[in-house]
Amino acid sequence: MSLLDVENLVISSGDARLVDGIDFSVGAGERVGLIGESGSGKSLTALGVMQLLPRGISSTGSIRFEDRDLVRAPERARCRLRGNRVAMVFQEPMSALNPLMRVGKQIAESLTVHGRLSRSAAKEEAARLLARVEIRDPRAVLRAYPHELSGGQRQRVVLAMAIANHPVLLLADEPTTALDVTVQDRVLRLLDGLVREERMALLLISHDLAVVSGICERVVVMYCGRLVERAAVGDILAHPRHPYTAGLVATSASLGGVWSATARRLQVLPTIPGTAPGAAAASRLSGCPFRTRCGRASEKCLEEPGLEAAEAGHDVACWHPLPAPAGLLRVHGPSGPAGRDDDVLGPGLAGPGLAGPGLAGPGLAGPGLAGPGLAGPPAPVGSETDGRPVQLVASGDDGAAPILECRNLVKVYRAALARQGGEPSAGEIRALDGVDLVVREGDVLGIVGESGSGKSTLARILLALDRPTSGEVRFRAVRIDDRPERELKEMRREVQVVFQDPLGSLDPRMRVSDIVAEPLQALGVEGDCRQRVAELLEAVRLPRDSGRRYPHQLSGGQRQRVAIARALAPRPNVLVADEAVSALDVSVRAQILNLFAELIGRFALSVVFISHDMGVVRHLCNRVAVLYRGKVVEEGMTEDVLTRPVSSYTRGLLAATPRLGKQVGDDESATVGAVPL
Amino acid sequence: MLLIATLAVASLIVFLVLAVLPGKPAEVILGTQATPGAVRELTDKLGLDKPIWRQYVDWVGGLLSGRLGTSYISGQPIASELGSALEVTGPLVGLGLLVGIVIAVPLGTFSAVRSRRASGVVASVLNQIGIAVPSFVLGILLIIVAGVELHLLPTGGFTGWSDPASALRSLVLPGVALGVVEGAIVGRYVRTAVLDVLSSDYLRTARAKGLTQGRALVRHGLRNVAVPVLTVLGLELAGLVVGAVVVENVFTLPGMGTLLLQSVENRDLIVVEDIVLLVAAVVLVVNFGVDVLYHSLDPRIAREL
Repeated sequence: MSLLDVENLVISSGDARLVDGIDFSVGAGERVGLIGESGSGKSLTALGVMQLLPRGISSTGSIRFEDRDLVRAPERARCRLRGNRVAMVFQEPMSALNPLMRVGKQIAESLTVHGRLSRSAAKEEAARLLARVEIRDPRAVLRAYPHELSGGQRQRVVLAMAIANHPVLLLADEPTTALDVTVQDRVLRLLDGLVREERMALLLISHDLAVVSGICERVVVMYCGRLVERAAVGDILAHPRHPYTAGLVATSASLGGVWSATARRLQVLPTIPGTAPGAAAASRLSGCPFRTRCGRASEKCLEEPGLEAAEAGHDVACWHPLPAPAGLLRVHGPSGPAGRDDDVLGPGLAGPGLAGPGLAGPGLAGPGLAGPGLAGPPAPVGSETDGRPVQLVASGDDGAAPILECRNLVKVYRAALARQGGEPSAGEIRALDGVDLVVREGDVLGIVGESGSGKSTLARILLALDRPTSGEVRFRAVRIDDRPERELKEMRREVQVVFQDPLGSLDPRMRVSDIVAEPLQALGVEGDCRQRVAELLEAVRLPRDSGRRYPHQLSGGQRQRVAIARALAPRPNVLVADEAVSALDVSVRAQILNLFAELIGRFALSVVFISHDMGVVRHLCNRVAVLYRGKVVEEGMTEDVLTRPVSSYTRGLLAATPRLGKQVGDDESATVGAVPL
Repeated sequence: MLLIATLAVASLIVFLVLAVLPGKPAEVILGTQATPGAVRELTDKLGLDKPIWRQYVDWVGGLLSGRLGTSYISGQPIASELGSALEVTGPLVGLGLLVGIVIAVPLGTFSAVRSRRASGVVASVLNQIGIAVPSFVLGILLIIVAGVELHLLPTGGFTGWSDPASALRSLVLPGVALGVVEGAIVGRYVRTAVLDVLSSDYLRTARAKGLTQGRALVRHGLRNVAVPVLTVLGLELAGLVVGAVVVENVFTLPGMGTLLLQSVENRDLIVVEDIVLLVAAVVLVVNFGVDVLYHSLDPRIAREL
């Protein structure tokens, strides 16, 4: 008898079954991860357990929690359980808190609502809870409004509210996704510690396999509203049985998951071909929802596979699961030369059926999965220990001509009487504080930084969309920062940009073909536009007929392809990508990165790639600059910076990055780079 | 500062618009039989022969020193005429606002909370009908039903505040006529605001703590709803004043609306100018007040008045 038993849970909106009959359980004190990409129904599942589904969405099935069926229980009984026996932490800490109510009152409410404490006692307890979630100045934070706190502090406040009544089950829905890497690491440690000390059961919902693997004991994988696999974390990582899980593991492993010295830049990442159908479309799909993307699919897959035990404690819903490992996980020694990795396939990917177009390609499966990070104790980050030279596919070198450079760049924003922590602080924000950077021809320069580091400001100034307060920007040795717009025409054609949010940066009322053609017309590029648009759509691998569509009719990955096609339209030499893959699902992110890698080579692009994600930068960039509070704290060849970081900030950033199979709090070096909140 | 600048611009616009109005005041006052000599004499006497900028300066100068001027027609100081009109219009607008809020908040909240049920849809439809019915039509309906048929309340006229009960009784029907329409309009905004709150993350957090839907809405929703609704109320105040002009005529109340219409008819321009400017000033001051109130409601708004 488990603490939480979910049986045949169906969550539907009208006719669409967004969650289609899933079963799982969470034992007392057990930590279970619920993995899935956007639209998989993982968040709805958590809200279903809380019975707090959005309006117009209903659930059937049974959710047994402490001998009570939450689906059928009267609302009053559910109110007594919520926040008391079962609590929840949400993804967006800003919107999860009432903006017009002081933090102290919001925490105290958790305590008074169940009649446990009087109002005055609740206030005292709220301060104690804030100290419990490691907030430094609890008294001040109690009096603050949510907007006066940082993202990490807000999430701690939400966590404090959740644990106020010592619940036996905590649901955490992407609790750290909206946070910076270093903050994420600390909040995860905190969560991990609290769950263990309070002996709470945890259901951790995330798209990030690395985050889940760091905290949880068991993993449940969802795809298109269905549960496709569930097993212990180690089993999922070492030998996933469902092709979807295998793809997810391979992708996660190769992208910053395992810091394998053998992972090479610009090699083709393993991907899952295609994209997941939308939730509504998936519910109309009969049979296995993954069959359209699956290399192992057969006639049989038109029938829906049931969840069956592949081995003890490892259930999978697939007609053609990947074979069980023959004996132990095959691991190649860390001393193996790079060349030999190519023919050692990670066990998870060994199935022939997976070798679809996206997954094929030598050398993609081995290093990621079989890297030292997974097998045995984590190897120190660094390739020198292996006694091998680092092979770097560097295209840019110091001899090449600088194409885009900036010198001593300073940008100061005048802040409107910002109030912080109750103290009015007038003044200036130095977004950039003396930044020098050079992008040479053929360079792929990564700019890594957390929110507030000034990386987006830098992008805007490099693009001459904003003017620096002082310092200069040169394009092909000509200053552009002080030029009027009419003199920037050539630079505008040669330097293009791809933004983070493809839905926000594409005009919703323009067709794809018009979006892609617009820069051609705006910059007066001659020739046949339609022919060029067709070429571009082909180059970014979009179907021919997508030109007639509108952005909202495309998936997130397809939209980003449109944004890339638009950027490539005027045949630029320089591409600035600002968090261009950050909003994408893991499997789609790998596809877009592969596309970037291919296009960089094909069109000889010089690239400034701005990201908060070390794994992405490592994969794509030959040089990297680490930005912290408007200053470049470290710059160099990617391999050097990532393996022998000089600055303590870089070390902290690297240590904080979640990796597959690394336990939260394993790596003590994370505390070295003491980054102020 | 902004307030004063806006008022200055408003005064200029009011003055210029009325200056180009056809029909010279002196001609209208003296009637069709007037001799050109008499017209000229009256024009001189009213100061309307001076250059237009001079007339403007005189008017504004008078206002700044507290003199509203004298009516062209009655020769009475405008201050006293306006004062007695305000005694009617002020309470009428206030009553209209009150009725409006009393209707808007429950109606809007109900139709939002029940938006997916039949009762909510019915409330929404009633709300739309309320918006569609002009206040003068509602006024006439009220006169017929409550006044003529049921003899509940007086249907027109105003006896003055010397008898407060009677004065209030004569303001009830016009106040309702005015308030229902405003309430319907504001009710739509309340509905939208409540729907926003209902789908907000913080309301979900509140419910995750164990609050019931109703308690969560009262404790976390009200203030968040108040912010957008307050803005609309400030803006709708101008609508109420305009509505009062019409309603006063339907109920033959000696208020500002009636005074305004008479003055326009008689080309008593200075009275018209004063009234319009007064209304503009009230609307501006109220909206300034709304801005100030914002800051006490919403801690996120930086203090930049």
